[in-house]
Amino acid sequence: MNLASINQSDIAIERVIESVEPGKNGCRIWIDMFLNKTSCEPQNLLLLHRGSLRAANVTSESWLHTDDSSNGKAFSLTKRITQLHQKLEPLCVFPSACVMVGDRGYRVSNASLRLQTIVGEEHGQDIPFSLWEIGEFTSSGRQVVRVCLSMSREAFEKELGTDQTFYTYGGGMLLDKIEHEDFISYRGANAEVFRRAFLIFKSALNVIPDVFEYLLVSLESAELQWEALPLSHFLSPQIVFPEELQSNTQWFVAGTAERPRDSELDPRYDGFVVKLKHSEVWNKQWAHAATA
Amino acid sequence: MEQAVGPRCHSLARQLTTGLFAWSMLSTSLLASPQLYANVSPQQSGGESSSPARTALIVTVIILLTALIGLIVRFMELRRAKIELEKLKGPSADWIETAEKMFQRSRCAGSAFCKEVVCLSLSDTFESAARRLTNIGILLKQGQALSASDIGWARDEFVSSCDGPKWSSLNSPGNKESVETKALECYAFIASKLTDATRVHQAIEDCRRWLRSQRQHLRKETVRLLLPALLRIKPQEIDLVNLYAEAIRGGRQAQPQSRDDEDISELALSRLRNVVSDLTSPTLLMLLQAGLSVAAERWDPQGFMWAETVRASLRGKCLAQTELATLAKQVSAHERFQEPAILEDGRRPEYEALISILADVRKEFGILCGVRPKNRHIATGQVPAWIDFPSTRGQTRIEGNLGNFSFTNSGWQPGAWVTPNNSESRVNNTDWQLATLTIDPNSDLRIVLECVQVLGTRLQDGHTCGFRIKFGGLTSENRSKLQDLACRFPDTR
Repeated sequence: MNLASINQSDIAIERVIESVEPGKNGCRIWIDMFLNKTSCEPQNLLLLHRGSLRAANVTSESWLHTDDSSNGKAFSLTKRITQLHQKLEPLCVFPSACVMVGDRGYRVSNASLRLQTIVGEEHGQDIPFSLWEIGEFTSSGRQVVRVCLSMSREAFEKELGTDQTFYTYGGGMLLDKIEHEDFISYRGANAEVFRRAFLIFKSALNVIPDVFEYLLVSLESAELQWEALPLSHFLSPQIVFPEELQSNTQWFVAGTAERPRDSELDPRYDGFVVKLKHSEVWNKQWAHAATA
Repeated sequence: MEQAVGPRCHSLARQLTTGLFAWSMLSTSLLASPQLYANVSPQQSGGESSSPARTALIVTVIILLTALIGLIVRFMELRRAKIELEKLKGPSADWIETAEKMFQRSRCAGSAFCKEVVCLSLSDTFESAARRLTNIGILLKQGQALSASDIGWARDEFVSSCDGPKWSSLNSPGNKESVETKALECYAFIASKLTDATRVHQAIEDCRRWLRSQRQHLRKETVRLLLPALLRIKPQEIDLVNLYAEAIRGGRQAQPQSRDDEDISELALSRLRNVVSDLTSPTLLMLLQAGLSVAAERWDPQGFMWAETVRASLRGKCLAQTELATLAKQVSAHERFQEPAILEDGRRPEYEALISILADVRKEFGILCGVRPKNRHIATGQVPAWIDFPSTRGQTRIEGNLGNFSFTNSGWQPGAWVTPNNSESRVNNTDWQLATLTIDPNSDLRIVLECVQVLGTRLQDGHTCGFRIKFGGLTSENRSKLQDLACRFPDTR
């Protein structure tokens, strides 16, 4: 997943929480954006993801505690994030449509925020990427938005391939993957449309979050059927303290409020890769290793 | 270590007391000293002007004294808190929280004191052990100048955490993997502070031991965190470079052998991209060569990561001309060796990546040429074809089947691939030879291409052989016939 701002940036992304939920019926990717807008000028964001996905703005049901939302998956993820953050930077949801992360308060973005598809959303189709425009952000200040991206079962299975592995890319690595591999493999009729959209995204101002959190979760079953292996060094695995979450959550953080993106360790941050493996493969692996 | 805590605290107290005493003496002497104003004449100063200067001096001294007293009070407070912490020693639910608070409060008191507090931390669970390591990491990152003894102490802490001699005494929550990761994150940080040759060799040996360990998590985290950090600061260490090449091969001497080895290989390749600008050109070439052999086995994702590293190297101009030429030669040989299988649709990204790298390298040498066009048309079904080589003893003919061909003149030189019917056919794989290619699917569409260049090629399996053909120029008639041929034998990949 990558983010870019269309106009000159007066919008800073202070934190992104990307929660990946692979399942039997495909894969859901929840993206929480904690942003800070410094002016009242209308501003839009571009959101890009590999492959064909459907997007929905799920901010209200995620961050506003109502009778309808409390049993939903989106709010259940919010609860999980809150639990995880207890010993990192406390994250609290207030009934007054406000979320506190540490000492920073974020207003829950209003439901009228538009999520417009520029290219993609061709469900089940093999396309290089999907691109959406989120906006308009009109008022200044801090706010939180959550978008849910859904990948169909067919598309997810194609991504998994015979190895039952799934790679998530971000930053420069993602753009290179699309440009050097996905475009080349693409045989669809409207290749030129995708190329143009890709150029729009590349010419926009790339927005890198100060803090990036990557979660691998199972919201339905008690046990996670997947294992995540971060290939990038700045994604630091975090201890999952709540006992009930230890078997269904993996959590990685890049950067903290005091030490953004490990910049002192590697100023050349230009993307990340996380490899997801189905645990059956892992089980076989362990069995094979034991036999050997 | 704990024995050293007492003397250090006393030492700090002594320093503060001495400083306070010195300041008091200095200020007293300054205030009492008439020489301070001796150079100021009554005319210049206006007689009474010494009074404001004296007041300013008194205020400064008072501020300094207040600051010093504040520091002493803070120190005493921390000292008292530490004694309380020592009393709490033992597995206790409050221990971690208390130690954490202590650590936060002690951070402003300087690294020596902070280190003492960290040393007092207990590690009765994996979680607390990991937290303790995290705190050591924060302490190290805060330290402006770390002494050799600090580095030695920290390194020993990290090594014992990875080698795990105390694990039997640790309990949940947390797990030993989290302890290993935290230790290696910190170890990677102090890698840049390793100036002593012995310490560097120790670190390389630690990497070697852990890369060859049976503990897969430790192997992977070593390659993800410590090995690239060391390579960045010591790219001239040949042992280290060899170890990195071994990691690229999955921690094996030849090729990855298991899924874990593949993970190791992916980690090493993806991290190499971040360190290209720190490496010398020959070192980088050596690692890229190791990467190419792995990428040839499995393009997705190793090949993509290898290609990303090459692109980063080209962008950063990290390869000198000699190494660039060597790399181009090997990439070209690899691509040629893989034909015609590499022309299959499923391997299109691999083919495109290789030829775009070749085109980029040529650009570096000032040779501007188009990127080789996408896959040739692969004919479905049998398309009989033969090659006639001119010979002093008459025509030599090789009969076979047309595998693929191109029919445009754009970009790369158009050509074809012919597989001989007889696998024992003469294959001259050293020189391009002039010949005539005849394609004859049936009598009404015979295509004769004269003066084509032919090179016999043996494929990677060592048995399959074929002929690479470069058309040179195509007449409009022949191009039209080839297009007709493409329609009759559609590409159904």
